[in-house]
This record gives sequence, structure tokens and C-alpha cells, in this order.
Amino acid sequence: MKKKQLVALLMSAFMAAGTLAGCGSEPSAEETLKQETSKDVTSKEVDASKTDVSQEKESEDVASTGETESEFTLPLTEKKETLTMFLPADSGFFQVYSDYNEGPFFQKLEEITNVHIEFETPVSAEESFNLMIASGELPDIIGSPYLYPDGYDAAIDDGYYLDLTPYLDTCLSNYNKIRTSNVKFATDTLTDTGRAAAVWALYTEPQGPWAGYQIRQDWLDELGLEMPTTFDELEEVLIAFRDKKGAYAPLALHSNGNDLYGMLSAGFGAYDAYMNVDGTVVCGFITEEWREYLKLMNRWYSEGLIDPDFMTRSNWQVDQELVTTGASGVWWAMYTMPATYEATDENMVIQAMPSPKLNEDDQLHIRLQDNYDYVGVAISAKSEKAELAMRWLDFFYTEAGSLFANYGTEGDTFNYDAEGNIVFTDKIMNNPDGLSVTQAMKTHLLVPNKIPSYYDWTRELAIIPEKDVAFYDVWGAEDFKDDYILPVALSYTSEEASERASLAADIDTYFREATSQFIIGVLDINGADWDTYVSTIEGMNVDRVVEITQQALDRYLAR
Amino acid sequence: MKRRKSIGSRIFDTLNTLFFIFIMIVCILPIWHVVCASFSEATWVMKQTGIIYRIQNFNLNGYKLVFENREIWSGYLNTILYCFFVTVIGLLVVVLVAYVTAQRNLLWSNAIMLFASFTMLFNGGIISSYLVNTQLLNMYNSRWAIILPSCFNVFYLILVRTAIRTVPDSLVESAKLDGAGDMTILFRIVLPLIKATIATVILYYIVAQWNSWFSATIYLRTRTKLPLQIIIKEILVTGDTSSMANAMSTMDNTGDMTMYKQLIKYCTIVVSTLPIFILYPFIQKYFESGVMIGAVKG
Amino acid sequence: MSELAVKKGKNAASGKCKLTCKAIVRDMQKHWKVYLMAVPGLVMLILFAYLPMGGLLMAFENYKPKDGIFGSQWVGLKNFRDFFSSYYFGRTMKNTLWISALQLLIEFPVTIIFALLLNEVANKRFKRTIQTISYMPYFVSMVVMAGIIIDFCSSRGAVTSIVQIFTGSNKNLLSVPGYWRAIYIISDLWQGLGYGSIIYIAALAGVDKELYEAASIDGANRWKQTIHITLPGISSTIIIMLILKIGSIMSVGYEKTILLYNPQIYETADIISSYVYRKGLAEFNYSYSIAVSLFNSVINFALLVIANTCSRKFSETSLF
Repeated sequence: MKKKQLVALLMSAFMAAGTLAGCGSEPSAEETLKQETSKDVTSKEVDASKTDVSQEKESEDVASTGETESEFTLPLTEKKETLTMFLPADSGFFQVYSDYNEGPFFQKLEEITNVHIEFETPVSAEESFNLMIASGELPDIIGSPYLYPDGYDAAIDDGYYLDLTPYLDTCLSNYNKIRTSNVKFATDTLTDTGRAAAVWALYTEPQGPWAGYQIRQDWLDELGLEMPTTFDELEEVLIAFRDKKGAYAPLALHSNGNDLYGMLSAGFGAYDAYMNVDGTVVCGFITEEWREYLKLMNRWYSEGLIDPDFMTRSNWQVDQELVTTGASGVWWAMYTMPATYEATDENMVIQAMPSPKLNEDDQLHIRLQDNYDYVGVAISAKSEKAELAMRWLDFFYTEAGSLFANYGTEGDTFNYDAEGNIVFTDKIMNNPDGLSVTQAMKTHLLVPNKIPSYYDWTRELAIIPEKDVAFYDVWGAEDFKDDYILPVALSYTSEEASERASLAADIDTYFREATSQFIIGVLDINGADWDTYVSTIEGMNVDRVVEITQQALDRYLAR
Repeated sequence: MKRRKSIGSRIFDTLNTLFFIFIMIVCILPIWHVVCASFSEATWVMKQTGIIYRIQNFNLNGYKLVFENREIWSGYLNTILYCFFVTVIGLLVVVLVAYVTAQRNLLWSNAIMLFASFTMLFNGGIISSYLVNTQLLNMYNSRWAIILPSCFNVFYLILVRTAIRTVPDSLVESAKLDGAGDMTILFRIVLPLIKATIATVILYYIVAQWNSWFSATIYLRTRTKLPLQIIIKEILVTGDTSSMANAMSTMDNTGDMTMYKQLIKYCTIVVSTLPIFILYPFIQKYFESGVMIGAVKG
Repeated sequence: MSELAVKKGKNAASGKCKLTCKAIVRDMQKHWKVYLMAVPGLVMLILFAYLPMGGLLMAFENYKPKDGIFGSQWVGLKNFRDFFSSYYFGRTMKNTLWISALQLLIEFPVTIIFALLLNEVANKRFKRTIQTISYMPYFVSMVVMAGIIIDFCSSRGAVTSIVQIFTGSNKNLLSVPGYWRAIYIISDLWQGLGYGSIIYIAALAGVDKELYEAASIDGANRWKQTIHITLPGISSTIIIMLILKIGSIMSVGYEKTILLYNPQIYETADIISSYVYRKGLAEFNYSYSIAVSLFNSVINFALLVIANTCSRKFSETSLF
């Protein structure tokens, strides 16, 4: 098994004394240009960079993995170095520790790399990020780089983020190899100008819709009802839940009168965001479809079928209390949640409910998008240790590094079974310190989706019952597509971004407020209030926002 | 010297007493609700509507969970630290300035007072303060950013200055004749005489700092430096701390914590408020003599 | 002749100046040790209050962190114009004034009445108990207060169940725009009533006892005594507090609002300070946000000066 060798490599690398390996000289302008024109970096170029690196550390005798792996020297530096990193707190992690460095994973990582990371964990990432930019105190590695208000290109041009493009072949060669191995990765990880502004988490395989509507199957069975697939059927079910099960909030909604990904209003063909309808940008929340949806919600609300407190529910998924107290029968949550809910009540059985449709055979276009790549980190343009920071990040894209990030160390957090499959040890599955499996994973392995890596999300399947894993098939079935959702990787120019942001923010505040008022009936969805609403939003120049978004979409599609 | 009260007067007294009993009930009831709920059984609490006025199945499960949360502990320590430094530094600085501005024979004392008072009306706002504190004073992610800017408070300055002016001149003059310096006069003679005001101001400082949370959200980047109120806020107001960014990591079931959410909320309220509730009755007797704003004039 | 007069005048002026300068030097020579004591405080004031005022310049710029305060593009009054023409201008103004007016018309007098009534309680121990208990809510932090309000106003909360008796609806109280102001003021009162009365109680303690003796000998009943002795006795305190309150009409604090509001009730809950907060810290529109808060401060300042001037004219009590 190859992976075994890699662990051995990891261990040997761990012990080997390394020198500070540079990333080679900066590639010449010619090289950079070549690379920009052809996004697919040929293996030749990768090879070239490899020799470049090895020249500098010829004295190194650390085992190379041979053909597939670029050389990677550990530890990254002989003398202990410190990097600073802005990284929002992970709630699971911080239930156990109050600093990332207290966790066993980061301690081990420090031993391996000889790089100490000083984490800056803000209370609120959104507020703190821009204050950090304003203060000029940039850490070496900047988490949540998408928060730069004017977009990635502007962040580079304004001198905050380092343009990583010249380093893709050198310091970030392992990252780049995976990045270029897949068209989706290659398009999503560069900006419209073809620059790499951040290092992105890349998924070993795409993750389907990991959240959606869930329903109390035990209630359905008890009441002799079928799984609802249309809005009419859902209404019947909700009424039954209300009347016969005493649920005071039969359907739990997020405060936006929907869920965060529009999976409930999907049946109407609109949701509360800017949509991509076959290449045309449409403002979803002023469409007639959205109005129809609100009409239905308004009626359901007045009939007591919707959580009366929905407008105060700011959690991104359902408030657990609603489920465990039997207040709700249908709600939106991740596929990992049912096990937790069911543990509170032995009779509870939860199933995935497909997004309801208007007609049985409708094709839906809105759901949680498949994940290929997600949140990255940028490097500060002012960092004096940028190369070290990049190599530190690149480590997670080497086979050894990604194994370490995803599964930890053999014999400690995982073992191989007879067939060579990875099996977590009791340290993860049945933690002696009383950590839950989630907490154990988050602290003993790389915290997911904070620091980018070659991320194997399937590792979490180890703890999910088979019944719940099947939820992916329900939410992601053939007739539920995600093509109306705008690509996450749209990029705006500086002017576009600031104009769009200031317009969109005001519109957003207004329409969110109006949405819940339409639902609870303060505003009359059937009457003239809707026209006022639409004209107010148009008065706030929504057309300009759509136009800017359209331009960005066109550029994206042309990539 | 008891004199007979008229009937109207007696009726008034009775009504007045009833009114205050009502007020006291209103003041206590919400707190009572929280305390009772915090000692009760989690599932029972979750199902209650209306005021909880008794304890059901006394237990300490909620408190156990709260104290297992390490951030509560570090928050506690930080808050105590911040309170201590703000109070000590702030009081010292304010008393010194108050002493100077209280002098009637100084040419600049009123000017200094005006200079200080003006800041009550105009300020640069959160963002400019942030820029000055981080770019100029280098207090990014520093505990000093929490402590120093909250030290000087003009309102307290007015209180202390007014109090100092009530100290009889003769005492000060005779001390001066004995050759005492200003520092000696301030700390040996003036301060003991205005201890009611000082006690009140100390309490103000402590309470304000104990309850403050906003500057910490802006300045601090290390969770081990956070004061208690931020931790409490995350539990009470934000509901659960998982944000959209966390949502992407699909392994976010917070387990026990959410089961007992309601109970934990109540327990954190009690835990965070108790110290102040214990403290203030001791200083209460100084309140009335400590605040004399009516005499600000001058 | 006239030339001479002018010369004389000039001499006098420069003489006066010299005199002042001399006085300043003498004052400094004599009292430098005392002035030294004020230095730490003044340094703090300059650093933490006056330096940030320079940031107000950003209100007239399109501030970009990369260009700094002095390098950003100067846009004059654009941010102000944007605010005045914004959908949110009228609404945040209205809501701010509403809350302020309610505070002024309800909280302010109620606190004074509370103090007066408390003054009539004869039993010392009872009085003391009332004080201890009514001060208690003040020491509950705003964060905890918000937590309690959210809990009590949820659809199954304690207050909601009382409201339900009257209205028959158990809607979450924080979701109904019409209730927001009531929630705000009532929670303010709950927290601040007892504590806010301290200042008046302190003033009441200072009213000359002999006046009451004299009045009761003259046959004045308690009501009359209150009107003719007590109120005039604490009038200067009342006026000072009133001036301060008027001077802060536009600055309703944002803490409670941002802890409690949700988009549902922006209509009544969104005030200038919460708007400033949202624009500045949540949407990073620093310049705009500072422009709004500057506008706010200017109005407050004007109101304060007006109130103070009126008061000085009519009651001879003033803040400065």
C-alpha cells in the first residue's frame, strides 16, 4: 500500500534535519507569462521546478517519493520560525481548547515543520477582517481572504495579498499539481485576470449537497402519511403534524423565510439571491416566482404551519431545540445532524425530504452546490516569510501532508485494516478524554475548511450512520440540479466590487426585512405592497447590481 | 417629635408601600426566574412557558457544563485583570486631574476642565479610535487596547472634582503651612475625606469594565485574551457560535452543549452576574453621598 | 489727537497682553508641580479622545485603507448627501427621535417621581431594602440583559405569555415592529429606574430639613411640601440632567439595539447609531459611517448648547 510508505516517509522526514529550502529563484517574466497563457501547467514545467528545488538542497537526503511526488523537505526550517495567521475560530475546536496551538494536531504539526504559528482568532471574522486591513497589521497568512471588500484582484493590486502566480511552480508546486489536475479546480482557483490570489482547499472528490430538508419519518409512519414531494403534500403533512403531533412550529425556517440555500423555494424556481438562469443573471427576490413562494409562506404562517419565531432564527441550520422538543417536524440541517437529534429521543427517526415541487415531474435548479474547492488563505504581500508560509501550506498538498491533515498519524489516530483501508483508532472514535467524535476529529486532525489542504471530506463518513449518508442521494437526485446558483468563484474588479457592495448591502437590508413582513402579513403580499417593494428595490438600483454581476458571470464563463 | 398623620397621608403611605413592593417584585422576578431555571432539570426548563418561580429537581448539571467550558474560566480571569488595571490606572489618573482642576487659584484649571469636557460631546468614533490605537499606538491584539482607552472618564472626573471642592480650604491651607506637598495633601488629606465618592467611582469602573464587550470584539484576536462578556454573548445572543464559514465543515454537531442550551444560558447569566451582585451592596451606602452632580456648576 | 488716542489704545492692548503673558509665566513657575499631576490624564485625553477626532476627516473622503487618511480621495460632502438621500435617513432619524422622546418623556420624569416617592418612605430599613433591590437590575450587563429579553420575548417566553392574555397571540415580541419601542423603554426602566434615581436621592438628602419643619408648622401638607420645598431644592440637579439628556437626544446607544434587533423590526428598531455600526463595521463603508456619526454629533452639540443657553437664561442653572 502506497500510503504506508508515505507515513514512513513522513516519519523519516520528521527526524531528518533539513535546511531551509528556498523555493528557487522567482521565475522569469517569460515563464510567468507562459504560465498565465496556458493554465494547464505541463508536467514538464513541474519537473523543471523540481530540479530547481533540489539544486538548492542537494545535501538533503530525505527520501523522495519517486515519480509522483515533488520533493518536499521536512522540517521546513532548521531554526524554529514563527508565522502569524489570521484564522477565524472553529466552534467545535474552541469548545475544547482556547487556542489552536493547544490542540494536538497543531502541536504535532509544529514538531514536523519546525514552524510555529501564532494564530489570530477574531471574535467576528467579518468585522475583524477589515479592521485588520485598516490597521495595516497584516499577518503572514490571511484566512477568510474572500472578505476583502473589493475582491481578490483589488487585494493584490492594493498591495495586501501577494500574487501567488509566480510561485505556483516553486513554493506551491504540490498545490499547483493538484490544482491543474481538474478543470473545475483550475478555473475556480484563479481570478479573471488569471492570477492566483489565494491557496484553496481542494477536495479529493466533490461533495454533494450536504444539507437539506429533514422530516420526522416516525411521525409520518405513525400518521400513515407518505413522504411529501409536492407543496400540497407537504402542507397536508404539516397540518397533520400541527394537529396530531402538537408541533407548534411544524416547519422550521431560517430568519430569511427560507433556508440559506433556497432549497424550499426551489420548487418555485427562485430564491432570495442573484441567480444564474442559463447564463443570465436574475435578481431572484423580485421575481413573480418568489412572490408566489411568499404567498404560500404567508398562508402557512397564518395557519400556524411555520415556526412563529422564524424571524429570530439566525443559526444557519435549524435550532436544535425545535427538533429535540418535538416542536418541528420538518427542518433544514446537515446530514450529520440526525444522529445527534435521534440520540435525544429513542423513538425519533429522521429521513431526508427532497425539496418540494409544484408538480410531481418538475425539474428543480436550486440546491446546495456541490463542493469541489472551498475557502482558501492568502499570503500577505508585506510578509517577510512569504516563501516559508507558502511551503508550509504546500505541505498539505503533498501526499504525506494531506494524509497527515486528513487522518493524522498511523498508529496514533488511524490504522490500516486488512484491505489497506484507513480506520480511525479509538482516539478519534471513542476518545479517552471524553471528546465527541467531532471534537476529536477537529482537534487531532486538521480543522476542516479553515486552513486549505487536499481535503478528503469522506473521512467524516466514518461516523455517519448509513441511513444518513443516503441523504446525499435524496437531496442531490437527478431532478434537483444546482445550475441556478451563481458560481462562488466570480471575481469583480475593484470598482465593480465597491459599487456592487454598497448597493447590494442596502438592498439586502431592505428586502430581508420586507420578506419576513410579507410572510407574517405586516405587508400584504397580495396587494399593492408588493409593487411598492419591487419599485423600492429598483429605486435602490438593483439593475446596476445585476449588470455588474452579469459582467462577472460572463467573464467567468469565458475562462 | 412624632406628629399625627392625616388620613390622606396614611392612605398615601400605604399606597406608596404597595407601590414599592410591586417595584421590588418586578425587579426581582426575572432574576428569580433565571436563578430557579438554572438549578432545574434541562428538559423541564425547555418545556416551560411563563415565569419559572420554583426549582424542579434541583441539580447542578448546567453549572457543570458551564464550568467545563474553559473559555468561561479564561474569560473570568481576563475580566478580573481588565477590571483591576482599568480601575487602578483610571482612578489614579482621574483623581490627579480632578485635583488640579479643583484648584481655584490655578490659571488653567478651568481650561483643562473644558478640554476634558469637550470630549464628552465630540469623539472621532469607533473607527478612527481603532486606527489611532492600532496604527499609532501599536495596540493591535493587545490587552492594553482594552485597558488604556477606558481609563479616562470625564464623568468620573466631574464627580471627583466636585467632591474635592467640598473639602474645606482651611484643612488644605493648614497642611500647606505644615509644608505638605500637593501629593501629600491629595493622598493624606483630600482622598480620605471624599472616600464615598472614590468608592462610588471604583464601583463604576468595575461595573463598566465587567460589562464591557464591544472593544474586545474589535481589538482582540486571541481568544485567550477575551473578557467574560464576549463568551457570554456568544452563548446568549448569537445562539450557537457556528457561522456560515463553519457550516461548510459538515461536522458541526455540538452535542451536549445544544441539548442543554437553555439551561446553559441561565447558568451563564448567574455565573457572570453573581460577582457584581455580591459587590455592590457593600458600596451601596456610599452611593448617595458619592454622586453630587447638582453641584457641578462652576 | 485722534492719532494719540489710537497709540494709547495700542499701548494698552500690548500692555494687557504682556500682563497675561506674565501671569501665565508666573502661574506656571509657581504651580508647575501641580500641573505636572494632570499630565498623565491629559496625555490620555489627547491620545484616546483628541487624536481620533482627526479621523473625522474621513467623513469627507472616500477612505481606502491602502491610501490612508491623508492620501484618500477627497469627496467633500458626498457622503453626507448620500446619507440624506438614502432610504434609511428618514427612518433612522425618526426611530432615534422616537426612542429619545420616549426616554425624555417617560424615563426622565418617572425616575424623578421614583426618587420623590422613595423620599416619602419613612422606615429606614424598608427604604434601604427598596434601594438594594431596585439597583440590582442595573448591574446586569447589557449582554445578559439582551439574553434575558430574547428569552422572555420568545413565543414561549415569560413576557409573551402575559401579553398573550391580553392579545391572544403568542407571536415573538421581538418580531413585531410595534412592540419594539415598548420593549426598549420598559427594559430601560427595569434596568435604570432605581439606579437612575440615586442622583436625585442624593440631591434630596441635601435639601435643608428645617424648611420642612417650618412648612409643617405653617400647615403645609406633604403634597405642598413636595411642590414648594422638595422640587425647588433639587431643581438644579433636574435641570443639569435635562440638559445632558437633551444634548444626547441623537445618540441613543447602539449596544442594546444591535444585540436585539433583527431585520424583521428594522422598521422601528434601526437607529442612527446602529446604522453607523452596520455601515462601518459590517459593511466596511468607513467614510460613510463616520459622516453619519459626525452629523449626529454636530446636532447633539447644537442641541446641548441651545438647551444650556436657554437654561442659563431662564433658571440661572447651566452646565457651562
